[in-house]
Amino acid sequence: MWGAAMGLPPRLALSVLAGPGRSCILGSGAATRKDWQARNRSGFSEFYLQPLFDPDLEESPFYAFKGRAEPTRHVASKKLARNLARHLLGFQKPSRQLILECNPGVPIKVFGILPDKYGRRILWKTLFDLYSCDSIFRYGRIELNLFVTDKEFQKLTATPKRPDLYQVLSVLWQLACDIKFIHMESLKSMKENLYFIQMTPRKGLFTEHLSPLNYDIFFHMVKHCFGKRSAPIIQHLSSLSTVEPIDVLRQVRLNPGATILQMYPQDFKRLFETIERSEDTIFKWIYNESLEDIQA
Amino acid sequence: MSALRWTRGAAGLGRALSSSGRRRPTSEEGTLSGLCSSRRSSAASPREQDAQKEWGHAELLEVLEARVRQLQAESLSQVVVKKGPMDRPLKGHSGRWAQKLEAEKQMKQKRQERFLDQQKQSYTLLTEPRIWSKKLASCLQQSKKGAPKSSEEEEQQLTWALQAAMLKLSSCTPGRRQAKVVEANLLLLQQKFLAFFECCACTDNMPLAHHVLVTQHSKCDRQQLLTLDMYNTVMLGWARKGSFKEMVYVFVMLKDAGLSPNLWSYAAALQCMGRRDQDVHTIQKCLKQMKENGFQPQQLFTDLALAGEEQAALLRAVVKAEPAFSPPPQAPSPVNTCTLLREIYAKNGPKSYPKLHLPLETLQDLFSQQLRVELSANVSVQSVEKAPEMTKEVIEARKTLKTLQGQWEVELLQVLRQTKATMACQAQEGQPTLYPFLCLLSEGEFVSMLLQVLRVLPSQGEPLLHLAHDLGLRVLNRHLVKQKQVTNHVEKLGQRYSQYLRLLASNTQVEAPFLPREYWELLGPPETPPQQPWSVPVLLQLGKQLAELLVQAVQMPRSLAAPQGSCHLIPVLYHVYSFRSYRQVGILKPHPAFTQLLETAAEPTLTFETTEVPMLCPPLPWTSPHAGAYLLSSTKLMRATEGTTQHQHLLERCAPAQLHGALDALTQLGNCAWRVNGRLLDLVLQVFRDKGCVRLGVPPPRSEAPQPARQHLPPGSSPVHKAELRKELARCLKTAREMHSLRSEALYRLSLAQHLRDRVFWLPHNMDFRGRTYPCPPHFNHLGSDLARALLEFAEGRPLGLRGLDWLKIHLVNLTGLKKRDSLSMRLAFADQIMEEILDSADNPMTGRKWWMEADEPWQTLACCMEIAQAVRSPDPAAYISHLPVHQDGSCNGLQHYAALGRDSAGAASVNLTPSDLPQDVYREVATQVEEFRQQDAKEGLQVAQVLKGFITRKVVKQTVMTVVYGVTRYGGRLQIEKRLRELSDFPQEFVWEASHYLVRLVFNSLQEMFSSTRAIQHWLTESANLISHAGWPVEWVTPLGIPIIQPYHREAKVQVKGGIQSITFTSSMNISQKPNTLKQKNGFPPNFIHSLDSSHMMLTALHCHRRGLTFVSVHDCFWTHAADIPVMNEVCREQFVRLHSQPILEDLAKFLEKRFCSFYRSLKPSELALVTKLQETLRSLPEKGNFDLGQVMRSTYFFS
Repeated sequence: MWGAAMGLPPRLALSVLAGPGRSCILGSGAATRKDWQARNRSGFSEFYLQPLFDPDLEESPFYAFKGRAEPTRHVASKKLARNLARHLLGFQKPSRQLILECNPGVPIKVFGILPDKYGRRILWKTLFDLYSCDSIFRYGRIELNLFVTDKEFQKLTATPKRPDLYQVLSVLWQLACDIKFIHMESLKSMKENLYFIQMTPRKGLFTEHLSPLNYDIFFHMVKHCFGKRSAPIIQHLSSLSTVEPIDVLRQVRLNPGATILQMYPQDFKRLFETIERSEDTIFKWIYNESLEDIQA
Repeated sequence: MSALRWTRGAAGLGRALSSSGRRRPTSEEGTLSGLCSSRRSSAASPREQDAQKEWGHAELLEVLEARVRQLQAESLSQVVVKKGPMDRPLKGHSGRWAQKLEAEKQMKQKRQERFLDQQKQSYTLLTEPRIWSKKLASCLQQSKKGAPKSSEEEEQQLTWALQAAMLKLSSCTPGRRQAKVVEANLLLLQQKFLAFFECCACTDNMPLAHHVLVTQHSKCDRQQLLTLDMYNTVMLGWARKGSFKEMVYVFVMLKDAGLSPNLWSYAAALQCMGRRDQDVHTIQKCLKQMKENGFQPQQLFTDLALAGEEQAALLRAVVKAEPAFSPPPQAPSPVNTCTLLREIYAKNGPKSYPKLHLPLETLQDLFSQQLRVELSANVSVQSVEKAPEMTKEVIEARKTLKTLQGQWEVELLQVLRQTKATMACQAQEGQPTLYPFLCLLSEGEFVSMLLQVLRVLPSQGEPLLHLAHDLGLRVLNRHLVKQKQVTNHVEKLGQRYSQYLRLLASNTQVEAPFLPREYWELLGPPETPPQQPWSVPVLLQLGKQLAELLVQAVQMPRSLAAPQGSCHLIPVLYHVYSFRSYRQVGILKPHPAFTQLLETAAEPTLTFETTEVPMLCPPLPWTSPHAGAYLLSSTKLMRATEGTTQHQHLLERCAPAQLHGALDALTQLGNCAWRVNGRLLDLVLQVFRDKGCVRLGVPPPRSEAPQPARQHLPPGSSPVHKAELRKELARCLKTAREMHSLRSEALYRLSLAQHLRDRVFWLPHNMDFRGRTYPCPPHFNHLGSDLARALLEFAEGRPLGLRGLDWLKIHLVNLTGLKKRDSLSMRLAFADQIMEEILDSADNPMTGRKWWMEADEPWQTLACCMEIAQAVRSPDPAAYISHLPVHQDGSCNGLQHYAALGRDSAGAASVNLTPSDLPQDVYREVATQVEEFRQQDAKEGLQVAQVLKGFITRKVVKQTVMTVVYGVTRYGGRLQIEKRLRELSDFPQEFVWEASHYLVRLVFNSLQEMFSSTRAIQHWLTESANLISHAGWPVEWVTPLGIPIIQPYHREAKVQVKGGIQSITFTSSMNISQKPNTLKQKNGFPPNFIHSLDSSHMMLTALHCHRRGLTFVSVHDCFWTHAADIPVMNEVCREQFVRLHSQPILEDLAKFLEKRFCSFYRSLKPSELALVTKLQETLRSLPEKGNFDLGQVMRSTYFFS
């Protein structure tokens, strides 16, 4: 059965892409990004991934699959496997073609369990990769199918209506992906429920004013706004940007006194794009990446 | 340019420099590296009232808030200010609002003025304390009854009160007395209070200090806070002013708090009475009470460090009560008893101490120049950067900058005054505010300091933590200098110094030969120790406040190009956060437009703190752990991270004579006169102003940085393309930043060299916690790179003599890195053989065959070529006056010390402790041995061994062998070898990981075999340190010269400084009160111990060379002198090595450690007892020694060569 054949490693590092088969399996956490690059260069993965948007890139040679380095763990519970297969594939005959046909523009799907301990870290790492079109996202809008814990699920999907859960991660993920809840599995061994979610990067994530060129500034802006949650947005703007904050806020029709709790993820994006669009100054942002280099 | 990131105290933050890490030899693992070693982080917590900050009326709101607080304090309610940011009008929204605001502002200002007037009249500071003890209270009450009284009566009653207070038994509750373990928060607050009182005393704000003390004393719950030191500080302040009444009040409070007065308390009381000519009876009572408390009157003059004038007042009082009393005569300075130093301090025997080459008058003139420099805040130095073309743009930018700076000065002054007013009010509520700190310097000084900091703020911003620390430190240093100006210290210094110069000047004689320190001590009383530096939290608080002023006050027009006046102002500094995983770092970043303005204006001057520039006259001799080096700026004998005090305590507890060896050696290193090699400087500047040259160590300018292939992408490019571009841009930017930082470093060095060209200057020295010596001026000294070393030469020349030229030639060959395996005579022959190249390099350095450029140390090689050329062309080379320092290097000095400690014959032979015809090369030997192992393994079919065939060279193993001595681990060793293997182009790179693992194992094994005793000693040291630190102590020892050493590795503790624009959290790992970091204590001990030995060897050599009239300086294990004096220096160096190791060093160490750490058995838990017992066993089983005959070192040519 399709589901039962799928390897689910104990720990995940999403930047790692390896393995054979119809779906891609995340390598074990012990491997590093370097490993992935190396492996990918020598073509360990069975099916050849053509970067979608970049015809200039060198083509790597194709070799036949030789073997897997990582130990894998299999879904032991029949019920879980069945549910998974059902929800993913809708009882259809599992085949690679089928998946690709169903989701044009999504070249590949990634399945995994987000480990409890490193969940947050992996979500952040993946976000960086996603916004900078790095790692697996070089190949396009990779769809992520993840088991996440209750807590992470709530955070990922939180809106300003849940001030306690609304976080930088919520904003950035919701902007980046269409997050679809597929299934909930309550496991006896763990007290928490596991949520199975499907995250498909949005087609319209990148625009003229938000792109891999400046996503870091956007990240910094959102983080800054969540740094002092109770401070009005205008105050954040005036230490983030040299553009006249009032004008910007008027353009995006936000109340200057609004805090992040009045701002939905889309509002952050609009705000950012408005500042990027503004023409009255050559220096738009106080932030630049050297800020991250300063020794502190 | 955004120059001067490193404008900080010499011992202060070398952050930028050390972070580049380029010049720092790997062997310095244990060194402290300024603030960067104590990992600091700053975290932020929001402050509500920040909301209003950016509205352009921040200062107004500040005043209003202050006003509200003031009004609350007085429980008046005339004005209600609405807080809450949202009902403030938006700037530029409507003219009506602006008008209203303006009107409001004026009204507020009027009110403020009125209020300040009112306050002057109505607010009185408390003088009379609330006394909790009924008995004491009644004494005071009596003195207060019947209000209008004659002053005599009042005085009479005060006297009674004092006497009653003295007699009252100190009802010390045990808890109170043993309150040694204070919780961290309370400790912080106490430091704050104490610093507040001290500053009040300095700034003539005694009534305020008294008021705050009284206010706190009258709060029952706050009494825990006040310590004896605080009462004493206030009392001493009053005593200096001769204010009897207040002094008595404080004394009564002190007793009331249940504290028992100590010697300082009595000294204050007596001093006060001495100044006022108090009646005999009271003084007698006071003395009697003092004796009953166990203090003798003599101690007043021996144990306390009081200024001369204070001592005189004290003496007046004591003599009045006991006419027969005379202060104990100053004990003759005790003589050092260390066996190693016996010859140095022997009264007889030949001494030919060197003199400087300058006459007295010149030196005196130099002194007054240096004094002028130190009295002004900093030194302006012309930048050597190519001057910009004076285009219209540049002129315009300079003009704008000047106008802006004028405006900022006014603004800053205003904000500073307002802040001071607010803080004064808060202080009147009994809060220990920063008010007295802001009075330490004049307002103008603060303003110019802040503007200076603004000018040098790096364009990428600076963490608030660092900025605050820097600012705090600057204020402290300026304050300490100012203190000396207030008393007639400067004048006395001048007199004493000019007498002292008679010892050094070429045209004067003193009656008998003296060491500089001895002579200085003869000329006057010892210096009073300086005020204790403020604790880091206090420093940070002050710095943060000043930084906040800067953020608040400094604004510029939104469009810098537009005409001024009408347009809207925006801040110049932005407070942003940078996010590092779980923490936020608050950063102050200048507006990019401001950075650009500075760049365009390209101001041609650099500004340095006085302690960053070499001295223009001979440094003050070191006489104590805190007196020496710069004339007025305080310098510490032992450098350490700010706030570390443990080693300072150790040094101060030492018997005075114990440190003489270190003091004299450092004095002597600092007394070497230097000058700039002008011809070489010209050549370097030529390269520098052109495009730099990486090969020659001259960093290229930023304009040479790599440019991204494309700056912009066509619209509609794919995200992946954008991502690629971003990566490329980031890469270029990073390289550019690195280049910029290297370039700035070189710019400072060369600008200082240019500044000092044609002058004679001195590099005062101090030492690190292991006794290794360093020059204090950070940017320009002989410790730096090849370039830095080549720029310096001895100011005093010596004729080459018979063999001098030969030594110059050998030195030249050594610098090239060629002929390392050849004997000295072969090197000499080689030099003669290539004489043509040498002369060509000297004559046409930039246009000729450029032979010098291929050398290991090109610039020094070139300098040496020039010296040789001049010498051989002079009519009589033997009479040629040479200024070039010639070096002698220890060959693998760490292993030399280990081999001598273990009397290890095999080891000794391989590091040149035994005489041999050719120099032994330990690296090559290790490589050979490793190769043998490899061949065996290869035969047995080990793949990695087979792959490595032909790749095991000296170079691959050298760094690892060198650093193993200093405690490099297998992990670090593997990384080093990996790096070497990656450099080999034909090595199959996929084997690097495996091969480096394999090789590091072989290197360690062969070292173990070759230097078995080394490993045994290392192991013994590590094990001892392990046990000591597990038992809860940091490792301490005393060097053979008597310097006490303590390892500054402790577990980190977080300290938070709250309030202001953000709270700052910093971690410190330097404090004795924290538990030791066992891993670091353990791993650090062997290398630190060896370093303490090599520093001892260096100091001994320095002292003996001095005795024989030589000029001597060192770069750790590389000794420098004139070419003619090399034979003498070599002899001394070997002699002292033998003498040092003839001492039972390890035995002494074991004895010391046992006495220090194994002598308290009481109150130990069983587990601790077991540890101590084990430690004792370890210490008693010293590693066994071999049978190497130390005397052989005397005949070894290549020991140092």
